[in-house]
Amino acid sequence: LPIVLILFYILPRKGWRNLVLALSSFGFFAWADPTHIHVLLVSIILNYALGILLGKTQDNEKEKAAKTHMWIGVILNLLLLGFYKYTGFFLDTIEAILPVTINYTKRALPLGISFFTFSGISYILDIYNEVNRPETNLIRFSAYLVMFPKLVQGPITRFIQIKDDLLQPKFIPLRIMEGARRFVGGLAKKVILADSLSIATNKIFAANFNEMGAGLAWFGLIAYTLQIYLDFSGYTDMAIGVGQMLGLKLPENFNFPYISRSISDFWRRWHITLGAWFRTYLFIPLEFARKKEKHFRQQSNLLIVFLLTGLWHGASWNFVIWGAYYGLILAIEASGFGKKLKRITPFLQHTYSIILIMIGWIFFRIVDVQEWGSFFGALIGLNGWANSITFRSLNILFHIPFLIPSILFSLPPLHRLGEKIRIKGGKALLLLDFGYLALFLFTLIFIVSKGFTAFMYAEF
Amino acid sequence: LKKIFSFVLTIFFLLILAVPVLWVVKGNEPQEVSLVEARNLAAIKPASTPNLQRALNLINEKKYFDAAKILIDLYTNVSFIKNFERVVSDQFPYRMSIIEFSKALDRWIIKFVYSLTDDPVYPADMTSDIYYDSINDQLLDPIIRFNANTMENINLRIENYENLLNLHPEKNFYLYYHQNIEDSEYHPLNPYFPEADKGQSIKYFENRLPEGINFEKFLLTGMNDHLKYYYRTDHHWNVNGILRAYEEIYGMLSRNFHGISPILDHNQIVNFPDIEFLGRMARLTFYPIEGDNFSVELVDFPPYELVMDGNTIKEMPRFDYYEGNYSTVPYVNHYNEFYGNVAGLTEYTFENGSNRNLLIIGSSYRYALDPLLASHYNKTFCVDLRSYRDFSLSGFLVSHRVDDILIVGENNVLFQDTAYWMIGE
Repeated sequence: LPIVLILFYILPRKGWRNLVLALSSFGFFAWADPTHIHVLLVSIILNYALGILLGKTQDNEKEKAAKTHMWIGVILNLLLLGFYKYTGFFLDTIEAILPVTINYTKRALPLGISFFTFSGISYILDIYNEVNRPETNLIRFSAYLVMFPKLVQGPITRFIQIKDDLLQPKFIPLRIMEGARRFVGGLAKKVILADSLSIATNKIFAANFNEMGAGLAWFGLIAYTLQIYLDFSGYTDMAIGVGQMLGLKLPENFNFPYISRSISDFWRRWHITLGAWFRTYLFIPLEFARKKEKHFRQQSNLLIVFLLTGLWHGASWNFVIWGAYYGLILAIEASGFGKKLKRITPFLQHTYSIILIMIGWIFFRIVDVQEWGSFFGALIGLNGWANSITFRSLNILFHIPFLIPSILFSLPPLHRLGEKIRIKGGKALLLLDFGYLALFLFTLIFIVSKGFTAFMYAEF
Repeated sequence: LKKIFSFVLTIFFLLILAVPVLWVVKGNEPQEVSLVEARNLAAIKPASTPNLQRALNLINEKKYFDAAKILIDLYTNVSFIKNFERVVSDQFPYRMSIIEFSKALDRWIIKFVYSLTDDPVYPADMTSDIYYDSINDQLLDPIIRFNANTMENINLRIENYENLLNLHPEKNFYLYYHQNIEDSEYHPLNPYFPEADKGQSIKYFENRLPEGINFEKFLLTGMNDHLKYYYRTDHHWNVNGILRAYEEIYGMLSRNFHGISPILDHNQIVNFPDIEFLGRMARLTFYPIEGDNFSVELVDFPPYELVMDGNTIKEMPRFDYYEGNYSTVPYVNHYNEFYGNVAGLTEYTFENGSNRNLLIIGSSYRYALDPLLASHYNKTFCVDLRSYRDFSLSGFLVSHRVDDILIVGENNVLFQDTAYWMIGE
C-alpha cells in the first residue's frame, strides 16, 4: 500500500496514476486469488467493449440495437456471476427436487465477483440510460472496475460517482490525512473488535443449541450483530480511507444502521450502495414496468428485490429466506404499518427495529435451516437461563468486555465527537491524530500477535 | 500545526513501511528458529527457494524474459503467497516483544473479568485454551471430553488391537497407560464441563480390552499426585513420573521375560539449579510463572549404540547435561533437549547379553523411558507414529526381529486418537 501511494503521487502525468491504480489492483487481486485473475480480465474486456458498442449504437440512434447490447451486457455479467456463484446451488436444488444424481465439483468463488459484476452491470445500464458516456480509455476503465480498495467488498460504485476523480487525480495532503484516519479507524474496528468477537461467536454458533441457555444465546446474537457491522463497516472505512489517500471519493456504505427506527430505515443505513443498486436498477424499473397493477405492486416488488438481495449474499436457502424475511417486513411497513410505527415513541421504534434486525442475523448466520428452531428455543429460554454449555465451557467469558467498545463504535456519539474535533481543528485535532497513531500501533500489535481473519463479506 | 500534521502523517507511513524498511536496513540473514516457541520460523531466502534462486540466476545471465516468467509463476502460486504472509508475520520486527505485550494485555482483561467470579482457575491467555491454576501456581491444559465420538474412537482402537493380536499371536503385547490431569477426576475445571472425561474413557477402554494383552495403568489419585509426577509449566511427566513408569513397566515386562537383567539403579537424582524449566504451556502463553526445577535420573547404562532415523548418534543427548553443556536461556525445551527430539524411528542396541528385542510405540513421554527399558534388551526399536506415518506392524516385523511390543502413553496414544495412533496392521 505505501509503495502504491508513493508511486501514485510521484508520477508526473495524471494518466500514469490510473495505470498505477489498475496495475496495483491486479497485483493485489492476483496476490489474494491468483487462480481467478482471468475472470477479472474477462469482466473488464466484456464491459469495456460492450460499453463502447452501446455508446456507438446510441450515437447512431439505433434504439433497438442499443437495447440488445444493453441486455447482452447485463446477461453476460449475470452469467459470469451465476456460473461461479450459483451453479452448485442450482444443481443441488435440482438434486433435492428430482430423483437425479448430478456429478459436479463446486468451484471456488472468485474474490469480489458479486461486487465487480454489479459494478459492470451498473456501468452498462448507466450508459444505456444516458447517465454517463462510455469510457474509451481502457486503463481508466480498468482502474474503475478493479480499483483495489473497493474490489473485494465494495462499496459498489457507479462510474459516474468516480469518473471525475479518475480524470483528474488530485494530491491533497489534508485528504490523505483524512484517509489515514479513516483507514486506521476501520482497521481497528476489524482487527481489535470484530475479530475478537468472532472468536466468541464462532464457538457459540458451533455449539449444540439444545444445551444452551438464554443468556449465552442472547450474548451470541448481540455479539454477532456487532461483529458483522464492525467487520463490514471496518472494511468500508478502510476502503474509503485508502480511496481518499488516492484522491478518490468512494460512496459511503453505512450510516449507523443499528439506530434505525424501522426496517426501511435500516436498509437506508445498511450496505447503502447495494440498496441503491437494487433500487436504481431493479425496484424502480419494476415499479415502472408494473405501474398498471393496482394491488400490492410495491409490496410484491419489494419482495422480489429482497429475495434477490438475499440470493446476492450467498447461494444457499438461508440467505434466500433472510431476503424474503426483510422483503415481507418491508412490504408490511409499506402497507401502512410504517406510518403507524412513526407515531409510537422513538424508544419503541428502536426496540422494534433492533429486535427484527437481530432475528434477521439468525437466518444469516446459521446456514442449516433445521437448527433455527433450536436457537430460537434457546433465545426464549426453553433451556433455561443457563444450561450445560456455558461461557466457561466455551472459554469466552473474557470476550464480554469487548461488547462495550463494540457498542460505542456502532453508535453515533463517538463518531460525532471525532467530527467536532476535526471541524474545530487546533490542538484537540492534533491530540486526536496522536490517538489514531496509538490506535494504529495497537492494531499492529493485535495483528502480529493474534493474526488476521478474512473479511466476512469477502465470501459474498 | 501543518508541520506537526505532516509529522503525524510521516510517522503513519513509516509505521506502514516499518517491515520492509527494517528488512532492508538489517540486511542480515533472517531469524530461522524461535527458541521461545520451539519452532522453525518462515523465512524467504533465495537458496531455500529453488525457483527464486533460478530466477535470480537468469537475471544475472540477462535472460530477463525467462526470469520474469518464473517470477510471475512464483507470484501466482498460492503456496509461495502463503509462505510470504507467514514470513511477514514471523520476521516482523520486535515480534516477540509485541507478542509479550499483547499477552500481558490479554491477562489484564482476563483477570479483570475473572475477578468478578472468584474463580481460582482462569485462562492464561486469550488464544491457547491453557489455564492458570492460582491455587497451585501451575498451568493446565483444558479438560478432555468423553462423549459418543470418544466411545466410537475407542471401539475402533479396540478393533485395531484385536486385529494386531490375531495377526501376531506369537508376540507379547503390553500396554501402559498413564493418566494426565486433563482426563482425570481431579481437573479443577471438570465441574464446568458436562462432558469432562473424569476417568471415564480409561474405564470404557479397560472394560473392552481384548484378552491376551498385558495392561498396566498409572492413575492419578488427586491433584497432589499430578503435582508430584508432572511439571507445572509443561505437559510432560517429571523425573518422578518417569521413574515410577519405568518401575511399573519393568515389572510388567518381567512377567514374560524371565531372564531380564536387574532394574537399573535409578535412585540418584541430579538437579540443575541454574535451569528454570519453562515448558510448553509457559512458552505458548508467556504466563509470568516461576519455572519448574529440572531434575533428572543419573543412570549407569551398559555400552550401547544409538541410531535415530538412520543416523548414528555418538551419545544420548542427556550426557551433555551431565557434563554441564546445556543452555540456561529461558524457554529452552529442556525435556526434549535432555531426552531427545522427535524421531520416527530410534534404535538402541545394548551389549548386555540379552537376546530379546523390544518394540516401543509412543509419543514424547516415551522418549524418557526408551534408554531405561532398552537397557534390558539386545535391540529396542522406538517408534513415534506422528513421524513414522506409513508404519505397518506386519511390515516392520518382517525386517526387524521383535519379541515384545509395548505401547506406552496417555489417552490419545493408547486408545482415543485414530488419526495418528491407530497402529498400521
